Amino acid sequence: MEMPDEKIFSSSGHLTHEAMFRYHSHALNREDQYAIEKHMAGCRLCAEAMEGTEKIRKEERYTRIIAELRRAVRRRSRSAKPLPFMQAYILAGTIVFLILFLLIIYIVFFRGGIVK
Amino acid sequence: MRFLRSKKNRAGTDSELLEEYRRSPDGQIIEILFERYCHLAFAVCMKYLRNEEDSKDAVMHLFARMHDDLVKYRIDHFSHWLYVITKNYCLKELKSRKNFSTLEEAGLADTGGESNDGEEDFDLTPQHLQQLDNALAALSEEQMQCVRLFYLDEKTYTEIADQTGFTLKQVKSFIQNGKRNLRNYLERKNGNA
Repeated sequence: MEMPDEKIFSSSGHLTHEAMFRYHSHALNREDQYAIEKHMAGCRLCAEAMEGTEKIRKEERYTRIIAELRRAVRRRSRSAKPLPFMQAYILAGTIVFLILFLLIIYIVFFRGGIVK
Repeated sequence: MRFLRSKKNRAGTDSELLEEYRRSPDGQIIEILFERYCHLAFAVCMKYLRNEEDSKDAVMHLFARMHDDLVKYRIDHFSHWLYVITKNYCLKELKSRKNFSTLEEAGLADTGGESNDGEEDFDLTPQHLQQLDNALAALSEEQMQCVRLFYLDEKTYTEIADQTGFTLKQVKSFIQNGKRNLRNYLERKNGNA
């Protein structure tokens, strides 16, 4: 059996969306068709995704939705949570600010001001 | 501060990325995983929810919970874990909408909308089958015929349907059920060994 087309499987070893649409439109050679069916027989994620793509009529629409979702996730993940080292900077900054604030209060109210 | 971000290894395997995320949670890793699987998760949601907007919302919801889940749980097979949480989310959604017609079509009405799918993905290799003459004999005639044609003779679903006279749906079902029975047999055999 020949090796399947590279576009059939992504780097993670699962079906690409191109593969799913080509499968539905019977635009695959026999080897690729068998490779896809063999993969689906062992992978429920891809098998059910294949059924789901039957409900999306146009590949262009599907591609646009996926691109939209990826953009949204990129935006969210970059604003969602500060990185651990950023959290440390924020915490250190807050502590320094509090210490300076208390020092100023102490100098102004208990030592009679900065300049005598 | 984006210039301070380290470039993550986009070519890393899922397991490597999950391990890296557990060591130091970074949204970039989620982005990479999301890019790999977003089209599959969305398509699974479409299968159950049958609506683009609902499916988009579902995928975003699943992404949002990934930040915590990937730290909280030890996930060995990301794709299988993603399949299970996606399916369970969709079934809960359908149940909350009392959409029984879709649940029935998914064959899950009797389970109350909970997926009883605890099975890991399982790939049956020709090597397995060659050791399993006894087990194959224990399958029903239809299952044995379809499993042999599919795994040993490497026939496609259409070719099997043409050769046997079964419908495509029947062929898929015989292969799926036959494979499950063989898997159970293998597990029992290994468990007793």
